[in-house]
Amino acid sequence: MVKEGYSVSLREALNPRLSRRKFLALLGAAGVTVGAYEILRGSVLKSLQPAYEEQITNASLTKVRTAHVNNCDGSCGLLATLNGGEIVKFSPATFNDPDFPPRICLRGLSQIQYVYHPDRLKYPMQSVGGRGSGQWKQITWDEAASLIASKFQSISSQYGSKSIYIAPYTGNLSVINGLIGVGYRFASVIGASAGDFEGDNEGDSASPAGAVEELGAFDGHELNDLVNSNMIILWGNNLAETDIPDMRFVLDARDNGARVVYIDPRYTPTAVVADQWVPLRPGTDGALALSMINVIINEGLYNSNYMLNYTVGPFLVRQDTMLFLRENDLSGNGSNNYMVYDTVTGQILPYNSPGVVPALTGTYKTANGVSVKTSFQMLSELVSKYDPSTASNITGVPAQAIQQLAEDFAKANPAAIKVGFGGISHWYYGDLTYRALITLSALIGYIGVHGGGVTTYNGALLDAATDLTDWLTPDGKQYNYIPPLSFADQVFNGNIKAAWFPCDNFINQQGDTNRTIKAIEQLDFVVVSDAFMTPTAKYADIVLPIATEYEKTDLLLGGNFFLQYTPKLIEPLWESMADLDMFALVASKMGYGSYFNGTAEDYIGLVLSGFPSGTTLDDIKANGNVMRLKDEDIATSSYQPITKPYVPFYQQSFPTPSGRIEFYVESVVPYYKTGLPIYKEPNEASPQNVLYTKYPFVMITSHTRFRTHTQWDNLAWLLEINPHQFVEINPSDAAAKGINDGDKVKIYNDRGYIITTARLTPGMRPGVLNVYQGHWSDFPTGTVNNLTNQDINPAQSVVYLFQSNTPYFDVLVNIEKVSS
Amino acid sequence: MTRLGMVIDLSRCVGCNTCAVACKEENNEPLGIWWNRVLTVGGGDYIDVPEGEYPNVDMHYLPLACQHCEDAPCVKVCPVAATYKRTEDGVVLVDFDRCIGCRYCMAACPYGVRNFNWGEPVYSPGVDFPVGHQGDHYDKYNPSRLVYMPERPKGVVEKCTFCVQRIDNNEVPFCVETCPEGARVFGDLENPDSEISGIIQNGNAQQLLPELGTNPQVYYVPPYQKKGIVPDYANQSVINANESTIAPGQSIIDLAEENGYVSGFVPPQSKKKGGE
Repeated sequence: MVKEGYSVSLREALNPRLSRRKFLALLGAAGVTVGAYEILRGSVLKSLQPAYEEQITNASLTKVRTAHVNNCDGSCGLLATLNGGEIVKFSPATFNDPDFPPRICLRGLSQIQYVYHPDRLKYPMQSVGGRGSGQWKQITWDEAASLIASKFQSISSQYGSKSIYIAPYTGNLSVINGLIGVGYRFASVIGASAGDFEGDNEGDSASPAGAVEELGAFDGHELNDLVNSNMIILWGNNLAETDIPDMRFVLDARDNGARVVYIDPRYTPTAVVADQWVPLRPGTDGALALSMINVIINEGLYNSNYMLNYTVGPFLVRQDTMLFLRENDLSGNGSNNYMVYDTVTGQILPYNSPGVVPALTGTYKTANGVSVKTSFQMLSELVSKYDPSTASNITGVPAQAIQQLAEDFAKANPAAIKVGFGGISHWYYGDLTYRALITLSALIGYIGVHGGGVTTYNGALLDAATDLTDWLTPDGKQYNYIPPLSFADQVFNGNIKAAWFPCDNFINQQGDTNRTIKAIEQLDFVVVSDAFMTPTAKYADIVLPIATEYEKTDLLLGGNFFLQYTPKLIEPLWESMADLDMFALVASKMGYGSYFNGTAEDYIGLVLSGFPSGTTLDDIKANGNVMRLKDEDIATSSYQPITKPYVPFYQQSFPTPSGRIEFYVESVVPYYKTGLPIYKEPNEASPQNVLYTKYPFVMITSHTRFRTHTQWDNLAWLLEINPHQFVEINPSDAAAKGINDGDKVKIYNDRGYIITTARLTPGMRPGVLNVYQGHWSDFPTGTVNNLTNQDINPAQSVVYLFQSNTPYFDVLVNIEKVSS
Repeated sequence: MTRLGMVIDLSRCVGCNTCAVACKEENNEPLGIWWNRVLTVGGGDYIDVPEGEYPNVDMHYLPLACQHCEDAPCVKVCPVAATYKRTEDGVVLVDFDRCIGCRYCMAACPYGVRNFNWGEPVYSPGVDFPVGHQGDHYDKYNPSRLVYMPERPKGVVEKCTFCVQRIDNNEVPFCVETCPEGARVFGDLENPDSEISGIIQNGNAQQLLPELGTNPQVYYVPPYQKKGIVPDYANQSVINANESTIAPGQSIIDLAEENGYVSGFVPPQSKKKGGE
C-alpha cells in the first residue's frame, strides 16, 4: 500500500541532479559513473573544449511543432525542442500565416514542468481507504481495466447503461484524447450518459445561449479582425490577463487610433492599457447596455435601414400573447408569415408583400382588435426605463459617461464588442445580458461587418465543418445527453450511479463543491483519469495516470482557425497512457474492443474525412503540422461567403426562425413574459436579495494569468511569481472588518466557506470580493466553489445544448478575519 | 560599430510575465533566480495592486533586467574582469570561469538586476536536465570567455546577457521573440535606420535613472497615455483624459527613487523603499 506520495516525490525531485532515466541510460550506454557524469555536466570539461556547445547542440537537437491544447482560447502553436529523448524547450511556433503572428504566454512556456512533474500519477491505483481517504493500492493497468469493466457491466445490468456518466471536459481541447474525443465515443458505444462538448458544460453557457437565440448561432469574429475596429469595447473581458496573445490585436488597433473601452468592476491589466475603464456594479451590464440603446435611439443614431431589413424590428408583436403576429392570426390561412404595418396602405400586411414599406415604430390594432406593436417600438419603450441617470443609479456609472459611451459607440463605425466567457456569462441572467449586447451592436448595423460584431469565441472548435458522427457516435450508437450542471440532481434522483471524469477536475470546477461532493459520495463507482492527483481524483475508486498532451498524438481544433497536429513527442512517462489507449483497454474488457482498434492517426483521418475540402493529415503534416481551415471547411460556408479575417453573418443571413436578427425572441416568452432582452437584477448577488443583509459582499471568481482554470496550479516557476491564493478586498471594506493585508480570512455563506489570505487593493470595488478561480481545493482550506451555486436558469432550456450555466459570479458571501 | 539595444514599450506591457518566464526557460534559471522580472508600479507590496482610491486608481508594469549600460558600474568594480562590456556590440557579460563571487557588481548596480547563486542551484521539481539553450557558449568575439553555461555553479553572479547565445547566432533575445504583445524591439542603436533608433529618435523612449550617467542600452516607451473622454467618478461626470488625475503615465525616470511602491518578486537587494 502506498500513500499519495507527494512528499516523497517532491523530496526526490529537489535532490538529485540526475534522473533515474538518465542514470540508467548512462550506465547502460557507457558504463560511466555518476561522478563522471557530474564532471561532464559541470565546469571541468568546458574550459578544455571551447567548441563543446556546437557539438552537443547540433548533433542531438530536434524541433517539432505541436500546440498548447488547453482551455484559455489561445490555442498557441508551440515549437518543442528535444534533446535526445527529452523536451528541453518550448518556443512560439509559426502558423504559416502573415496575418497571424506566432504566439505564446507564460503558461505555454512552463509546460516542461508539467510534463516532468514529480507529482504526476505514475501508475493505476485503487482506493483502499474509502473515497477521499488518500489510501491507495497500486494496481496494474490490466487489473484496473478489468475492475472498471466488471463494475460498469454490473451497474449497467442493474440500473441500465445510462446510469454511467462519462464526463470528458476541457482539460484538453483536442479531438482524439480530449474534449471532443474518445470519451464520447466510449460513452456512445457502451450506451452511457455524457454532456456535450460543444455546447453544454459546467459554466459559460449563458452567452452562447443568448447568441443562439438572437443570431441563430454562437459564432465570433476571428480575433485579428479587431484591428479593423475604430472602437473596441472589452465587455467584462480581462483579455490582457486571460487570453494574453489575443490582446495584441487590441493594442494594434489602439495604436492605430481605435478607442479601447474596458468594462469591468475590477481594475486589471486590461484597464492599464485601455483608453477608458468603466467600473460598474457587478451583474448590471445589461442595464448599461439598455441605457446605451436608449441614448442611441433617443438621439436617432441608430441605423433604421438595418433595423428594418435585417432584424425583426418592424415585425408586429401581439400584446396579448407577446408572440409575433402571424398572417394566420388575421386570415386563418395557415401562413406563418410575420406581419408589419405598411406605411403606404396603412394596413397590416405580411412583411414580404410586394411594395410594402414597413413601419419601424408604432402601436396598432388588428382588424380583429388585437393590440400590436413593432418589436422596435417595444424595445424603445423598454429602454425608456433606462435613461442614463436611472441606469447610473443601477450601475454606478456616471450618466454622462453612459451618454458619451453610447455616442462614441454609435459614431465609431465600426465598433467591436469583445466579451469574455468568464464575464457576463457567469451570471444567472447572462443570456439576457449577451442579447442586450447583440441588440446594441445590431442597432448600428455592426453585425456581420469587419471590425464589428459581438465576439466571445471563435475558431475551429466551433466553425470546422467536420461531421463527427462516425467518430463520436459510431454505428448510430448515441450516448444519452445529460446537462453537466444537473449532475448532482441526477445522482440524487438515482439516475446516475457511476461516473468517469477524463481531463476534468470536476469537483474543483463545479459550482457548490459541497453539493457536488455529496453527490459523488452517493455514487457506486467513480473513475478519474488525470495526470495528477487532483481534488477530483482524490474522490475516485480508481485513478488512472494519463499521458500529457506531449506524450500522445492528436489534432487540435481550438480557439483559432487553424488545425494543429500535435504528434507524440516522447513516450508516455512512467505507466501513463493516452486516453485513446485507456478507453480502448476498458472497452475491450467489456467486449467493445472492435470500436477502438485504430491508432490516433487513424481516427484523426476519420475526423478529417468529414471535411468538405478533403484535407488529410498528410496535408497538415506537409504544411508543418499546422493548416488554416479552408473556406469550404468552415461550417457556415454553406450560407455565408467566407472573408478573411473570418466574420460571421457576413452575408447578413441568420439561421434564426425569421432569418433575421431576433432581438425579440419568442421562445423565451414563457420564462420572461417578453421576448426582449430585459434587464433583471442579479439572481443572488443583488442588494434586493434578503440574503444581502447576512452576506453583503458580491464574490466574483476571475481567471488568473497564472493558471488555465485549474491547470498549472503546481508549476514551480508560476508559483514563484504568484505563490499564494488570496482574496482581493478594497481597503475600506477591509478596514471596516478589521482586516489587514496578509491576514487570514474566512469567506462564507450558507453553502460553505474557504480560508484564504486577504490582499488589500484599491483596484477592487467596495462591496465586492475577488478570488481567482481554479486553485486546488486543498489550499489552504477549500476551493472557491465551496461558495458558488448550481442555480440553473430555466430560460436556457430553450437552447438544447446550452441548458446549464453555472452562475459563478452571482454569489453573495461574508468575510471575517480568522484570529491567528 | 554596433551597439545592441532594446526598447520596451510600456504602453503595450500588460504585466503578463511571459518575458520573465521565457528568460527563465531559455537560460535555465534555477528557482529563486530571475534575470528578468516584471514589477508593478502601483500602490502595494504585491503585483497588480494599483495606487489611489477606487475607482481613481493607476498602475503600470515595468519589466526589469540588465540595462547593458554604456558606462557600467558593475564593470568598473569587478576585481577580476569577469564582468565586462563587449566592445563589439556593447553587451555586458559575465565570464563564469572568472567570477569569484565577491558581489561587488551587485552592490554597484543601480538597477538591482544581478542574481547571486548563494547555494547549489535548485530547479523545478522533476526537471533534472537543463532546459532552454543546450550547452555552454563562449563569447563569439572572445572565445576564451565562458558567457553562458546551462547550470551556473554556486558562488557566481548571473544576469541578463541579451541571450548572448542567441544574438551570437543572429537570433533576437528570447523575451523579444516571445512577448505576446509585441512590446519589445531589439536592434542596433548605432544604425540610424533601425526600428529601435527610429523609436528613440522620435523622443518617445527614456532610459532608467539617466541622471546616474550610466547610459543604458535599454530604453522604455512610457506607459499608455489614455486618450479621449473618461468618467470622473468623484463628480459623477466625465473629463478629458489629458486633464485627468486618473492616469496619464507617470515618469518612469522617477519611479525607482521617488514614486514609492514598486512591487513584484523583487530580490531584497533591489527592493525599493515606499509606503509604511
